[in-house]
Amino acid sequence: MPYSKDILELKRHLLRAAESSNSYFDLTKLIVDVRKVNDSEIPYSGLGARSPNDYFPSIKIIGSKLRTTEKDYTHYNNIDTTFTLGGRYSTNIITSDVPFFVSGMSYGSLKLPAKIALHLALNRLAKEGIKIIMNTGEGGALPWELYGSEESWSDVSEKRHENILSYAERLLKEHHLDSIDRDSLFCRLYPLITQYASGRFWKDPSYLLNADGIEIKIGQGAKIGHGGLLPGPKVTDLVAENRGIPSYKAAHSPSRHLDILGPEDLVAKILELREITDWRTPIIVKVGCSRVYDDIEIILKSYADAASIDGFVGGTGAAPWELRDIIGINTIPSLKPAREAIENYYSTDNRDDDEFRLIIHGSVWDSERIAKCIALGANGVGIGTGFLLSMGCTLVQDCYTNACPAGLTGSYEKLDIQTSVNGIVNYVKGTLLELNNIAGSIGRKSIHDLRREDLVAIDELTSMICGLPLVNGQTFKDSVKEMIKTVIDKRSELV
Amino acid sequence: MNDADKFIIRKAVLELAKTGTPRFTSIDDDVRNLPNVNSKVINLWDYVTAIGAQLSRPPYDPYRETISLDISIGRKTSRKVTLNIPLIIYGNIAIHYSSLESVHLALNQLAEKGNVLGLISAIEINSTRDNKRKYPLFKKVPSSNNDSLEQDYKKSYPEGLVLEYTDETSLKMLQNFRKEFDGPILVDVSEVFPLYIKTILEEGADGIIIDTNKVTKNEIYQGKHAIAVISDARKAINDYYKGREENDDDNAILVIAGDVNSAGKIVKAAALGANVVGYSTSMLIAHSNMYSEKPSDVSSIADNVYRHMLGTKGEIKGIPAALGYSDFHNISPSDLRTSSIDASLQGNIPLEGIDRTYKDMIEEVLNEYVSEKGIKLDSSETQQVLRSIVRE
Repeated sequence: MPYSKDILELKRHLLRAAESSNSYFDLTKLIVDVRKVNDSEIPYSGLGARSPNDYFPSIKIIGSKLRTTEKDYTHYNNIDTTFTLGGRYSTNIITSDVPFFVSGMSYGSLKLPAKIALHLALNRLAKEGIKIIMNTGEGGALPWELYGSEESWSDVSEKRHENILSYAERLLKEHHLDSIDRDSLFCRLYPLITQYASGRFWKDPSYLLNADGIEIKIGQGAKIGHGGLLPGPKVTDLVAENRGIPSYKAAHSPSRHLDILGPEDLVAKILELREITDWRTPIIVKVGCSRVYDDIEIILKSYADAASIDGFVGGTGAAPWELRDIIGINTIPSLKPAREAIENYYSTDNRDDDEFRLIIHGSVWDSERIAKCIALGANGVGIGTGFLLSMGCTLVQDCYTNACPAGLTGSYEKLDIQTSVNGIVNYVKGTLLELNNIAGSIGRKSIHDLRREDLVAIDELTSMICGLPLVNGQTFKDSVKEMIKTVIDKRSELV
Repeated sequence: MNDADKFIIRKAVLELAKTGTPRFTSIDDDVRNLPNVNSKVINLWDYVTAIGAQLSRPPYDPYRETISLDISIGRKTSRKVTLNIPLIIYGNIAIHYSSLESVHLALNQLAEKGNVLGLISAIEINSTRDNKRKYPLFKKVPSSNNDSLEQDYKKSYPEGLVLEYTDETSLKMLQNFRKEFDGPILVDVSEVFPLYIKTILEEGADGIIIDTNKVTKNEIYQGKHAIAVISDARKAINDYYKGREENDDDNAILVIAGDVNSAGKIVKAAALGANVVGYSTSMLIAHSNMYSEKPSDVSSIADNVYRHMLGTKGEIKGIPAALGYSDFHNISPSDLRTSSIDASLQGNIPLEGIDRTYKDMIEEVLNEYVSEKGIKLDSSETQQVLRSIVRE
């Protein structure tokens, strides 16, 4: 963030005081204290928490390759990478050609050109035969997302039609995007999931009725138990209009849904949404990773089609810095309890396996991490920061401000939409090719055939937490038993 | 994400975004191959997180609901001192008198707005009629002082006393002060920890102060982290109360100072058993003025300290709410998880994802092993084997 001269001076003085006193232990957090000195507010930060151990590098996929030969990018083009969502209770099923999708990133948190780049890129991919799901985030959907097909306009009154188009025109004009072709903009070829969060930042039922899926957001990894947050300066008039809230005032969505306090309320809410959507639309429930087993157990017993869990390292546009860094657990350790909850649910009373899906988010940026999550039990993977990176994100983590070096979450004039579209398309295609190669190189015909047995852990902790064998083939238990044997044998020798 | 990781992640995704073709190495391959990855300076606090409230336990809302931070200091027979923020400004930092004056003014401003927190200081602050002290002062008594309170300490009318415990003569001082002073007496045991806790509490101390920075330099705790110190200190206090459950309104408090200088660490320390944190950052902020080319006046620096504390209070309220507590002091060790074997061992903290401590996991395997092999181990032998395995 371009901090003011005053803040930087304060930081310099505090640094010298800290160094001379030898009583301050984390100099990287000095700026948090300086910001509190400056404005007495809780300091925010963007993107994911700093986790010193996210386990991903400590897991290896045995014998897999991202690229098969120097010349051929892929030998394995018949690998099944489709991901379906719905069908457990919903009559509709969403099909994606890749097992990853665009995580919820709202308009407001992202600036309009970045949202448009995502929209156009997903349309282009769909035209090229790669359908990929996009989640709107909790801040409402944009007009072309909700009204991107002929049938979506069918029940819209003339007056409403005019209002929607007028809002779209104002959005484009405000962002100097008048030249965008309206026909290609008002066309959505990819599946859209709208987020139903505690703030209810949407204005009419089309938000639910025109979506292909609905995600009830109980929480997210970056701010578990806190509720959504869009800082005041980012709530411009147009963002406020889209969300139905006052301009330039921080949008703090409640930390919990006021009508979902427990498992029964969740069931009631899902049934309400099922009635509204005539049981057509797949419903997902998203939680931040903490008490994963218990939360998944509750979701399984509700009328949800899928559970979505988000590790505490998952990204965000804005979160209280300290809260983001200390609440929740990592992505990888969440998968074991989540899978156990699902397996225990289906083994109880010999329930028939149905179409329940487990989706995971947090620190997943490339094909190998996607593959590891799937091998450990996820059905699908949400990616947010990876898509931002493909548009040029520099990871400075100032997404809570209106200044972004890449023009994604602020300084929107900097973003070149066409370059961003190309970046997203390449990122998806490259990742898909790599997924094909990973699965193919270890003899799998489907990415969903990846199993725990395809993985090894390179340290004791990862082996224990994931239930994976170590590189030498031993399980955590085997290696501990060997140590016990050595200790007990020595003891016997002494006796 | 540290800076090296960020570089690798960005490079990897940009490569894909540019070419759309598969890479030769993954992000994890590159992270694994980072040089000196194991020699990074690590602070075990970073490996400890708290589990938040979601579906199985609803969170509170710090913006719309009351989250209590209040703590009462003083055992059954002592006069009580209540803090609205569980912090006492305390640090082993040599600061200029004017810096202390700024802290004094800031604490007064905070107290006027209902944010009472304490100050531990050996130095008197000259209160004028306009800036009379409105917050509790815990007067620090030099360990060499063997005199009665009459001569010195009654003059400033402190709400509490802090006695530094250095050797057995300190016990005599504690006994004398206890006879004369009815307010809370906190004993700083950093020099002697883990010894004397029971004796000190038996002699009527209202709380124990431990500076983790000092303790981890002692021989017994060399190589250990603040996590181990807090965990052991809480156990020592709990052990004192074992068998005295009828006195459940008699609560000696644990004050932890040292490596606890952010909201996250304050919450983690509280979860491990600290009731109050001895917070040095306010002093540091006041002191930083001395490094300015154009030092500000006392009241401007007081404003800095004041604003910083309001921000910190907001953070401290937000975290328990997100964990599902309306009272900061309900946070417990069961709310913590760790991604480090070392932190699990030192603080008896469950590992994330499996919700059990490393030691419990090893013990389970040991029990399985001895049962399979028909080996008989008595409890001390079991503990001995366990200690060898976990390298305690």
